[in-house]
Order: sequence, then C-alpha cells, then structure tokens
Amino acid sequence: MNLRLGAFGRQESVSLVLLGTFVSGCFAIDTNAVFRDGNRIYLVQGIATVLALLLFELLTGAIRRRGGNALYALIGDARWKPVLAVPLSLALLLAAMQPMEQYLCAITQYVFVETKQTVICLYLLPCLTLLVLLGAETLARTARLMLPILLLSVLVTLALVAAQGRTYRLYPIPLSDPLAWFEQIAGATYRAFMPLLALLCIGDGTQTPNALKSAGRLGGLLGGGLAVAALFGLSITFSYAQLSGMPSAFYRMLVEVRAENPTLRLDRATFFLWMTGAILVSAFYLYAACVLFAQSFGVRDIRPLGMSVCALAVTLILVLYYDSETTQAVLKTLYRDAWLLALLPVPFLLIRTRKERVVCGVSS
Amino acid sequence: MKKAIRDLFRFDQPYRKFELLETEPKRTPSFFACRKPKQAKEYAIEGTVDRDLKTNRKRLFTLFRGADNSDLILRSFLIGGRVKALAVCLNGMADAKQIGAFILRPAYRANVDGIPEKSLPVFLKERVLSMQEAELCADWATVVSAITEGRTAVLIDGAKEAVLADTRGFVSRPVGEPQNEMTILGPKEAFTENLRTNVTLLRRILKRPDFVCRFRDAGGTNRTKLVIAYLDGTVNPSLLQELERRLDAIASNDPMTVGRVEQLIEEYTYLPMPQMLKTERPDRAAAAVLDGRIALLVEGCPLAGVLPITLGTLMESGEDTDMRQPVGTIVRLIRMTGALLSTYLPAYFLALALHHPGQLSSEILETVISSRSMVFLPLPVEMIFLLLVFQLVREAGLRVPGAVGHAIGIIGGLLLGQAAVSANIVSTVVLIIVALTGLGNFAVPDYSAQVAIAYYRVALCIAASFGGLLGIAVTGLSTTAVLASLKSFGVPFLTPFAPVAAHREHLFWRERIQNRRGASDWANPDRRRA
Repeated sequence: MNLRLGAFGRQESVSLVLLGTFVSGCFAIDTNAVFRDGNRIYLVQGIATVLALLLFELLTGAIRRRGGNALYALIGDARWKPVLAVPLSLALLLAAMQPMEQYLCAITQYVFVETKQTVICLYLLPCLTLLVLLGAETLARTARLMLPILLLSVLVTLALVAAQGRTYRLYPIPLSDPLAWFEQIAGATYRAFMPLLALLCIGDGTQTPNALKSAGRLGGLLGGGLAVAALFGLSITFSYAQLSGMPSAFYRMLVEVRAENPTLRLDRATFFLWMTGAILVSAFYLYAACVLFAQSFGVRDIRPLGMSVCALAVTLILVLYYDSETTQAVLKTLYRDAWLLALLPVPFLLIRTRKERVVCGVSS
Repeated sequence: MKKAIRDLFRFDQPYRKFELLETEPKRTPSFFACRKPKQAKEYAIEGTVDRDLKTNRKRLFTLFRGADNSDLILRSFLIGGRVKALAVCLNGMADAKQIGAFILRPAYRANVDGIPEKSLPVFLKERVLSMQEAELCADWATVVSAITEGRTAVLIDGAKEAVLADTRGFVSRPVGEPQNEMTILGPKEAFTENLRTNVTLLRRILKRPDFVCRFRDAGGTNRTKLVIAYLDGTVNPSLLQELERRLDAIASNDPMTVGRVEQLIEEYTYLPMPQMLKTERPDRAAAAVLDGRIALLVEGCPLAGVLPITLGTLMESGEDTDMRQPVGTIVRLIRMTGALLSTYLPAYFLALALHHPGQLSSEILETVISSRSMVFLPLPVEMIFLLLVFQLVREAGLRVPGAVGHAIGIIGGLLLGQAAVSANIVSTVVLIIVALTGLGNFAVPDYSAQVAIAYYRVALCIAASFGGLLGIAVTGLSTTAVLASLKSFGVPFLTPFAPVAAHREHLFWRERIQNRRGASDWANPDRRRA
C-alpha cells in the first residue's frame, strides 16, 4: 500500500503533536461561544490537556496489548470496522477545517478586506494538497523545521503582551453553569485529543511503540502548556466582553502589541507565519484521516484519497460562507458536536481490547 | 523555372534538400513514441580474442572503421624474428616512444625458440615487455576498451590472449588554481581533466591504506572512465551498492561529465536544488571522503562530485575550517543571512509595497512612492525584470574571459543600473533591493545552489505580487516541505535539522576543530570514528 508514511523520529513526532495541540487549542476556538458568559478558557484548556493525555495513554496501552504500533491495530480486525473508522476520520476532517476556517475569517476581515473566501482558498488548497501528498515523513520534518521559529514568535508575542496585560481581565470565571463547563471541556478535549489521535493513526511511521508514546506525552504536554499560556496571554489582553465579539482574537492581540510598540511592524508577517503552522496542522489531520480511512477500507494508494479529502475540506469551509442556511446549520452542528464523533468510538475500542484480554485469560 | 515551380507544388521532399525525418524506416510511428526512454545502442563487442591473428586484425579494422580512422595504428611485427604479432593502438592517445622502446625493440630481440604460441603472452608479459603496467586479457570488449583509453594491445598469432600494455601518453592540462572556488587561506590546487592526475591529487591528501579508488565505466556506449573514491570501512556499504546500481542503469550516448552523471543518477530530476556537490578542489573532496561520503571523478571533467549532501554541505566553503572558530562562525552567519536575504527580500518587499503598505513606515513608503513616481512599469514587473537583468549580467560575465567578464559586471552593475534609473525604467529602491539580493546570492558558495535559489526567488516574487504575504507563506511552506522531502542518495536534504542527527553539524556556527570526531553520522558510516 502506498500510504507515504515514511519514517520519522521522536523529535519530529513531538513537533507535530506540539504544533497540533497549540494550533487546535488557540486558533481553532470559536470566540463567540467560548467567551459568551465569562472567561474560563485558560482553565478549561489545562483540564482538556490532561483528559486528552489520559485518553492517549489508554489507547496506546490498548494498542500495545494488541501488539501493534498504530490505531489500526485496534480496529483492523473489528467487525464494525467502518463504523469505528468513519467517525474518527470525520472528526479529524472537522478538526482540520477549524483552524483553516478561523484563518480564512481573519484574512478576509483584517488583511484582505473585501476579498472573497474562494480566492483565499485558491492559495490554501494547493499547499494543503501538496503537504498531504508528500506524506507523514515530510509533514513531521517540516513541523520540526518550523517549530523553533513559531515558538520564538509566540513566546516573543507573549512576553510583550505580559508587560501590558491586566490580570483583572481574567474575571469573571462563570461557575454557575455546569453544562457550559461540560460543553467547553468536551470541545477543548476534542481539540487537544485530535493531534494525539492523528499521531496514533500514523504510528507505523514512528520508530518504536515507546517513541510513539513518549512523543505523544511530551508533545501533548508541551503543546497544551503553550496553549494555556497563550490563552492566558489573550485573556489578560482583552476582557471577555471584547473577546466574545472578536473573531481571530490572536491577530487582534498581535495588533495590540504593535500599537504599544510601533517599531515592531511584524504583525502581518507573524500572523502569516502562524498561518503556515495552521496549514501544516490541518494537513496533518487530513493526512491522518486519509490513512485511517485507507487502512480501514483497503484503499491501496493514498494520493487520490488525499486530493479528494483536501478538496472536500476546503469546499466544506466555503459552504460555511456561501451555501444555504440549512447546510450551514448542519455543518455548524457537526462543528459544535465534533467531540462526540471523536470520543464516542474510543470506549468501544478500549472495551474490545478489554474483552479480548478476558477471553485470552480464560482460554490460557 | 519549371523545376522551381514543380518543387513548389510537390508534396514529398525535394531531392536535393536534405532533412532528417522524424519517422525513419523501421520505426513504428506512434503518438507516444517520443515518450519511450532512449536506449543506448550497444556495439556488438563480445566474445574473446581469436587464435588467428588475421581474424583479429580484420575485426579490429572493421570495429574501429580503419578505412576512415587514420589514427588507428595496426603495426605487424615478428617476435624474436619468428612469431607473427600485431600491436594495436590509437595515434595520439598512446605514446609512440614507449611503444618503440618498451614493446617493439624488446620483442624483436627476444629469443622465443621452444616456446609454444599459447604460452607466448605470459612469456611476453613476464620476460620481454619492460612496462610498468601490463596485463593479459582474453575478453574482446576489454581489449577494445583498453585501446580507446590509449593502451596498446599486443595480439599474437596462435594465442588466445592479448597483452595490454600501458602506453597512455596523451597531452593533458597541468594542475592549476581553482577558478570558481577561490580561497584566501586554503590550498590552491584544482582538479584537471586527467583522471589519473585527479586520483593522485586525492591520494596526496588521503595517505591512508583504506582509501579506495574504484575505476569503472560510466555506462552507456561511450564507456567513459570514472572513479568512485571512498574510505573502505567508513563509507556505508549500502550507499556504495546503491551508487553502483544507479551507475549500472545509465544508458546514455552523451559524453559524461560530473553534472551529467549527477542528472542520470539522482532521484529528484525536476527539482532545481542540486543533489550532489560539484567541487574543483581536491581538499574539499578529500574532506568529504573522510566524512564517510563518496567522491565521484569522471574522465575529462575537472570536477569531483560528492554524495550524499545536505543543505549544510552546499552552504560550506572550502576555507571554513581554515579560519579561526569565531571568525568562521561570523562568516557563516553572514553567508546564511545573505542566502535568506537573497531568497526572501524581493518577495517580502513586493508583498509589503503592493498588499500591506501599512507595515512600512510612512518615511519608507514616501521614499518608495517618490522613487517610483516616474517609472512606467508595474512594481512586480519591474522587480522581475531587474532580477532577470541581474541574471543576464551574471551569465554574460561568467561566459567571457576574466578581464572582460569583470568589465561586463561593472558595466552591468553601475552603468546599466544608473542609466535605467535615469531613464525611469526602474526605481532606485528596487535597484537597491535587487543589488542586496545579488550580493546575498553571491554569498552562497555553491554555484548550483545559487541558481536554485534564483528559481525560488522568482517563484516567491510571483506569489508575493499576487497574494502578498499570504502568497509568500504558502509558497514558502510548500518549498520547505519539498526540501524536507528531498533526499540526496538516501540522506534527507535538511539533515541535521529535520530529521535530527546525533552528530549536530552546525549550519549557523562553526564547531571547534577539537570537537570534530570522525564521520558525520547522517551518512550512517560503518565506523563512527573514521
């Protein structure tokens, strides 16, 4: 099978997961929903990181017990293979769409005003497709190359923000609505879990099961920590009332930094640098979705599938802007409840492994 | 007149006008015929040396087109005044004095009484020919190949083996100074067109018994000699095997040079970035061999190809290690800055000026606007036009002899630039940007890498003029990804950054000489400490 997995080391895997956790945690949030009634996101993100890592530990343990190195080891011989693989692939597809959609929104609102989303997508689609076609090895290496620059830019921005941030903006923390807490934690866990799930999908490319496990742990933890720091920085820069009506809040934060330091005219360059990170992460998720789908349905070559999935992702993003209200409503519901798609198959996978262990124990 | 009119209206080809037709006899016309890979026609050089001298003579005469090739020498003589023999060589390739003094004269004087014909080749090699290098050979293809190299084949009547005597004596250029990789502190020797001289230059630096120079044909019909130079026990055996496999697959009729061999054996043919380092400096090739890599020398080419390579290899200069460490580090940082400026500066300027003017300060914006007020070309066209002019001046300067080349550079750089600004064809700001770009480009030590960067620069400029920073971002990301996927003979091109290698060969700063320990591990050598 031509899955274009290649081989990549621990540092490359850590870079992919770190970048994924950070991008999904910071650039994929819907500010209208998150900051509706207060600011709790910097707490939620921390909890979500821990939960995602817990899920990852459970899944890697189950994979190891099955003697495999990737998620496919858990669903490869299942009778309901497509039923398990399709929701996970769809969850990855939706996770890939989120940062791109946010960036598309930011570009059309702040950078290229009055430009249609279709035009921007014409730039994004070839790059996204190329990355997916080049495969896991290239994605991991590109992530390893870009991570230091992205980290530097994020840390410099946060350092500048910290100097002018106000801690009173962290309040109020809305404690009265448990359902909202649950919704936000579920959504954030989904976003934090997606890079780990994608890593599990391409686990055959890592050198050993231990490398996979440690890469997931380290990348998830560091990425989650960085996302918490970035969200904290965002929260002390703007009040929740400002943030709730502010799409692409991170770009606004950059502009704020520049307003205070007029000599730093790098906000656009930094914005597009972060955008390359978002494209890379989207490509990572799409590629992982393709691998899972191809393995589950016996597709022998990932390239046609990769091209189709990239086109589908970009089309669905455009549908959010242009198509009928019904379609938009369906897509938005999928967006909101994507965590169900990602998290529901996981217990089934774990239960299957548990049952097999019991059966093996009885027979032996 | 009548003939002219008839020629005008005839459908077929007029008789006296010769033209090579695309569809020749015995070739099936096909729509996809042009896609078929070009296969080299093999000469019918097979079999062994015949016992009959006349047959051998006739075969050689036919094979070398003796009727037309007047430089083919077929010299008959009698060994010891009794046994018929034939000395075959190519005039000019073989040294006539050596043939006379060490083959013909001793052969006339030899006493071959009582020695059977079949033992004569051994007798001749061991007792008669006072040559430094002589060997027995029965394979006809080897005999023919030896003659083309300048050796002399002695064929004896009744013997099934020929004696191949080394009489090569053709004229070659002496060892000179490097023309393109000049250094201030490093050695001043450069490779020549003579393969033996090049091997000697390497052997003078690498005085080790495990240094191997394996001679072989480059493949194809031309059978150009090449040498694979490596350190046995240090080089990765699978890399060597892969190189041999790719060389075996060459089927080209073109004369071989290092550049052509590179294109025939590399994996990613369509990418502008080179996958083999071409150097004219023996010290650089020797350093690479010590590092666990392979140097490829080709007969008739004054360059050595080094493989595998990384981006770091292309950014290194020959004298990097001759400088003191802090100085070397600064020079390397300047070089990297130059390369980055050269790649991104024109595109970044275009993006800011066209799509994001808010990112420029009002003073700079004012300067840009005032300098462009009279220029009629749009900014992207002006930038790309100037970049092309820069490449034109550079190519023109390269192809003409030294002093005139420098003059072209000065004329192109100063007069043409000044005149273009005065004529309002280009603006001063763009001229400064292109000049900085050009300087940065020259800071890249490798010529092939310079040209490759020029491709990326133009691509980024086009992307920036259409999409601003968005265009640069997506093109830059795509380029980085393609470079990350690139491999030079199995070694990832962006090693040791992605993937990370244990031996952290620094790209941005030079490590201390004391810290250099043997071969780089990204070449995966057999023994880490060579």
